[in-house]
Amino acid sequence: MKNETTAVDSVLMNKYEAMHDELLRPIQKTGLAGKIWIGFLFCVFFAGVFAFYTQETKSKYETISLNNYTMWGIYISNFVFFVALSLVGALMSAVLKLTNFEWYRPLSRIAEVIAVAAIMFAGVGIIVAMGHPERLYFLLTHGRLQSPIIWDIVVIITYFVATSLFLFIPLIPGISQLSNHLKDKPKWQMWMYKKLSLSWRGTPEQWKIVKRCITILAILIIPLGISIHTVTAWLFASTLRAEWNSTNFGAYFIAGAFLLGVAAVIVGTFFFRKYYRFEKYLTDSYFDKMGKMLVFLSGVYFYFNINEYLVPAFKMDSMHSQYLLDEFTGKDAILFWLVFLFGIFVPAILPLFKSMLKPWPLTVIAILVVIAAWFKRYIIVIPGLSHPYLPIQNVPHSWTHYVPSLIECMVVAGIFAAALLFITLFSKFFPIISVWEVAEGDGVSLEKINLLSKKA
Amino acid sequence: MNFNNTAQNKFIKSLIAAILFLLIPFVYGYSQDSTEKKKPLLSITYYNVNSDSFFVKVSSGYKDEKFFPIEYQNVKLYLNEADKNNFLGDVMTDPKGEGIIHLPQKFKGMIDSLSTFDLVAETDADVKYKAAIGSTTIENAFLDVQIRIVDTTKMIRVYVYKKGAKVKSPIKGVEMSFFVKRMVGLFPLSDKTISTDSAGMAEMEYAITDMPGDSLGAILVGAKIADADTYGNIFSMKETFWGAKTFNNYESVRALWAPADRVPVWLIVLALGIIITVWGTILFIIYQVYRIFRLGQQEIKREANL
Repeated sequence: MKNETTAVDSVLMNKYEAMHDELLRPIQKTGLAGKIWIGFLFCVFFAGVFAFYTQETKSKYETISLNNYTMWGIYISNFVFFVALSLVGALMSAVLKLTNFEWYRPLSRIAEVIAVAAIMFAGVGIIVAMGHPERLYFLLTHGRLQSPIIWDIVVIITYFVATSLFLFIPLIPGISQLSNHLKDKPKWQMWMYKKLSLSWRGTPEQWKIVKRCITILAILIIPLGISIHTVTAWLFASTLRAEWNSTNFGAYFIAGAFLLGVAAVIVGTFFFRKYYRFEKYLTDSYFDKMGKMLVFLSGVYFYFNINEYLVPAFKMDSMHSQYLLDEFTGKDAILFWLVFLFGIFVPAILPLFKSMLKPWPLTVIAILVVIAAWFKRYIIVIPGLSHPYLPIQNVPHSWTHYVPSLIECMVVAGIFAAALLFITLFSKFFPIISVWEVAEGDGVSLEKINLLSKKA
Repeated sequence: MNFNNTAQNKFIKSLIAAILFLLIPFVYGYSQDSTEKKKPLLSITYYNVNSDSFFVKVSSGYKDEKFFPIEYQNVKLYLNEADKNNFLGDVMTDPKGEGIIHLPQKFKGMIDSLSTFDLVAETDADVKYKAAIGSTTIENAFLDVQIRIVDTTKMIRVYVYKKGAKVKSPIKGVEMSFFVKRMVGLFPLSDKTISTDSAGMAEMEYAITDMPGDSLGAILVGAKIADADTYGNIFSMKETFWGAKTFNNYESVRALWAPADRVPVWLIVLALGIIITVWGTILFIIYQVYRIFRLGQQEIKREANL
């Protein structure tokens, strides 16, 4: 019996040793495709920085299309998209960790890094939207506690700190392994690993602290995650616009964020699996499970959309009717129905077929969901703003509609590139799958995980 | 079908001929529609508010049995004649065929000093419409609103004078309406208009007792010349304290809509409670991270001593 246990342990140890070695591969070396990708992201990011500099140094009448009515534009719709993206990465990870859904362990770090990148650049997005970055300081010194904008700023900063800790603390044992194992890396990189590993020795007390912190953060992140998107929804719901006059808004936004978050994790998992050749660890079964989650969450989101559109459409009150008619059959109808098709119906129906739960087709569906989710925020923000309670009259013609300027598009593209760059560079410096968490999920003891770390 | 070839050919030819015949009116109608450009009719309405804000509403449309507005048409507006020195600005018509332009600052003084002036609107020809020009002549008038109380009766009196004249020149027979300015409109004091006398004067009693004003009861009362072919639309207003005092308590109580220094106590307690709890937990976690580091250092020292 003892021999059998030893044999099983030995097989597991070999498996995690091999896994550990393979996870170091993307950190050890960056291929040509990787360099081109990083170079491309840097170019788009710098173009965005240049566009922002132009916006801040030239007249905003020339550089951006925002006006008295559409005063938020794509900066805020993009901000809402990023907040939604940040919600689920960490929230799902927290919920599944607390409820012991072991299958999710290899995906948790991918989800968490997406969450940190998204909340970081959601914050950047809102500073960009302010027009003058120094307004953030004035918002903090002169803001009204009654304003949802203050709540949003507070909750974004808090959520960013909490998700960063949630990402960092499980990473400490992994960084210690990197510091012991990596060779031929620049001194600054090794110094960074040494500092970030916090002198990790894998003592029972250190493990106890890590696990306690993860549990506390997982509990904290659930209400924080729900708050961040609810407060973002309240930014709209507490503003006087017929379209946003909804008690459903917080739950509606959270349902949409869950769907977007799962789609983003599918896309992230697919690309890490394909380009880092992690097929052995990020197997088809994960896509199967995530696909089923996509169907369920599309159903939930569909339910909230029914509440959001069908009930007001049944009443068609005069304040709301013009907005609804523009969405259903008017000037915004094509975008509205495409968003419904690709953002709800496609992910609700196609993954019901088994062949669609394979990595390729499911990733295509997930990409469509992510694109539709961005445009969904667009049609919530822009047509909502363009239909105020008081009629738009005696104003220049250009104020009656909104088309984002090139500068705005470049800034948004720069924010996207920066977020993708953060995720890519993270995966180039740290393992994107947490070996010790996967090993622990398979029942390997902490002593053996320590042994693996020291062997490495 | 049991047609032989000849019969079949005949049938097809007849069918094509019938279709072509039926299409003739449509093709003819379409070619007529596509070649015949409509002639826009431009109308200009002048507004003067308190001799301070001057704006012009331009309407464009065409007549084809009934009147159709022309939307999104660019109309150029000139003072007196259509040349570049007198260019007041461009205006784009909305779906109702209307557009409004506020007159540039540099023309205000000039308009104010003229006894009469012309406003000229012009559109260029495009694929659908011919070029068009329209104009209106405005006789410049000035309203002097006075408020007074005779015994206990509140009266609003207005004098209408010609502008640009060296001596005060009253205008007789102008129809005046009286109103109270509200947030988004003008509240008429009467359905009837009053004609100015030979002194250019018209007067109306202000009989309302409960018109809501501000905390001091201030309201704006005034008189207007509305849609007059000669004068356009001229408004003049004056502040009085004839309104009912309304106590505005927004700034004196703690409420969700109050300024930053009057936050409701329950909100302060709730927000601070949440912030202290959450940030307390985060600081605890950061302390735990520091403990990981300290334990590691102790372990390294212990290993070194072994």
